[in-house]
Amino acid sequence: MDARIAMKLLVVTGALVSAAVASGGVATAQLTTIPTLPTTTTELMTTTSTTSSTTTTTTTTTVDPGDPPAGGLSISVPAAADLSPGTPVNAGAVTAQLGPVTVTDARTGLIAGWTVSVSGSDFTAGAGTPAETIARANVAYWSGPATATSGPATFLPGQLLAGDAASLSAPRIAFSALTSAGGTSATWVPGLVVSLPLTSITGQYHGTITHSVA
Amino acid sequence: MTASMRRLLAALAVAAVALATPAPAFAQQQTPGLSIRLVDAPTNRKDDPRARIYVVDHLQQGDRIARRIELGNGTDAPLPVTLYAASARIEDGQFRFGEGHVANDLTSWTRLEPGHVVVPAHGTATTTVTVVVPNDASGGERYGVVWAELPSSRGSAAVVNRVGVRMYVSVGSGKEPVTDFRIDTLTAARDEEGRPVVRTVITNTGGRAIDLAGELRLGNGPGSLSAGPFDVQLGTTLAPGDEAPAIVRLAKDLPDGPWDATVTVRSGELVKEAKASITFPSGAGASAKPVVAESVEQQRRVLIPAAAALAVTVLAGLTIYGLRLLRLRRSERLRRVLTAA
Repeated sequence: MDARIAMKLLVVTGALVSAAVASGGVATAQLTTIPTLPTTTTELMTTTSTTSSTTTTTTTTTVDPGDPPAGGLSISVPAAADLSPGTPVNAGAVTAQLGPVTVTDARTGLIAGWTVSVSGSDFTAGAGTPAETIARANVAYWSGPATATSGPATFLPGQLLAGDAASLSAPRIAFSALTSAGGTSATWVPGLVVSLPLTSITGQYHGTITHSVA
Repeated sequence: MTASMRRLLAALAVAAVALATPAPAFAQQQTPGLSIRLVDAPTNRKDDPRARIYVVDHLQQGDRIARRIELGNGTDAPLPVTLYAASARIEDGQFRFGEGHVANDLTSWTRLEPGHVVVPAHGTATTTVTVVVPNDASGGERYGVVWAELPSSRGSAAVVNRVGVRMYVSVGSGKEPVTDFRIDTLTAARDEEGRPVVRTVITNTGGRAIDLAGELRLGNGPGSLSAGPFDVQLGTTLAPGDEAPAIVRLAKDLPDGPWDATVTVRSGELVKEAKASITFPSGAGASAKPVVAESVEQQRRVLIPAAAALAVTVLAGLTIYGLRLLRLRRSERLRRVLTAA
């Protein structure tokens, strides 16, 4: 009798497995992959079901509960920002507030945090002649402190104070979150300091700052 | 059997067990702005948490893989997004993104289809990343990022934001190089301001890059105190053969010790733990002698047996329940027979 019930239970497991396969929908030969799993708990469940069903068919080893995985890693849409207008060309430097940047990590499972790097272009005016170009080495970025954070992580602003502003001659780490878990987010309002070379001439300068998070 | 035949068979086997899944609903409220998520992870890496968020694979020359990536728009307006792969490298214990569209081997083997997409407001869009390793590719690990880039903001200081999925692709004809690392020593010290810190060094002893995260726990301290966990500040990524210092900053009022310090460091499913007895020196800037960390048995598969035990318990419970049900039915049948008689 034990055996029969055990059989029944196996059949139930089998049915679940095949249902999951069916819900998988169109199978394409091109895919070599399975959906990501949402949580560690589910991962454990999958592992268990995998172990118990490996004996039946090969297909079952790839099946997962098909729970919708939670969100991904996101970055906010940038706000418009200007170099403070009307700065005299001999002022030495011109600044800008870049507007808030928010990174949200809604990935789940064991992860190793996220890093935001920042890079910059030269700032040019008019035709971009040498006199109308401010090299990006003269452009400095400072993240400032986090204005808001959430989740379990150590949040590290790249350049806490204006005095820490880093030249964008090379990409810099603007912000990072050290953690073992998802569900973190941070917002900061970076500032820009553009040193004006003595050779600069009057003009409407324009440049681009890129935030990259992965 | 030739190598290519074996590869073909392997590819067929993988294709046979492959599943496509319906695109699941996106957790919009959690991800404002533009979000990115890897949808597919390889079946042979289902236990590796890294393979679920990054494109991590070991490929042979001539191999081709395809992964879907989902973009989510958490804003009220459609977002036009440009998709491309760009180079990355590991330097000073950090995974560093290349600027703009800078290419490398890996990105030249990578195609995104579509490469431009408008993600509807509060909606999602999917793109497929395909990596084809040329037959003459040399062995080794290569890095890149699949970027989803938003349009530039307006203004004279324009901002471009992009969010990506990292790629760690190892190429070689043989078996995949092992992933391994070592925690060498623990050093108790005080920083310039007199705050206690614990320093350690992690060495990547394997053949693949690792992404590290970790924590420190202090136990068995003065008056049976324990403290932690404290996040270990690591360079997050180490290339094969590299070593990186890691530091844990602690609270100033922490007693000197001695403490039993346990450092737990993880890359994906690989977890290493090291233990040492440490005592913080007195005086700012002072450092105690490094203590050789004693490696604790790997914890890697601890959770899986635990889950198996749980499953067995549940099955046993169900069996007992089923038996009872059967017995009940039979006695009912017996009663019915008896009543009929």
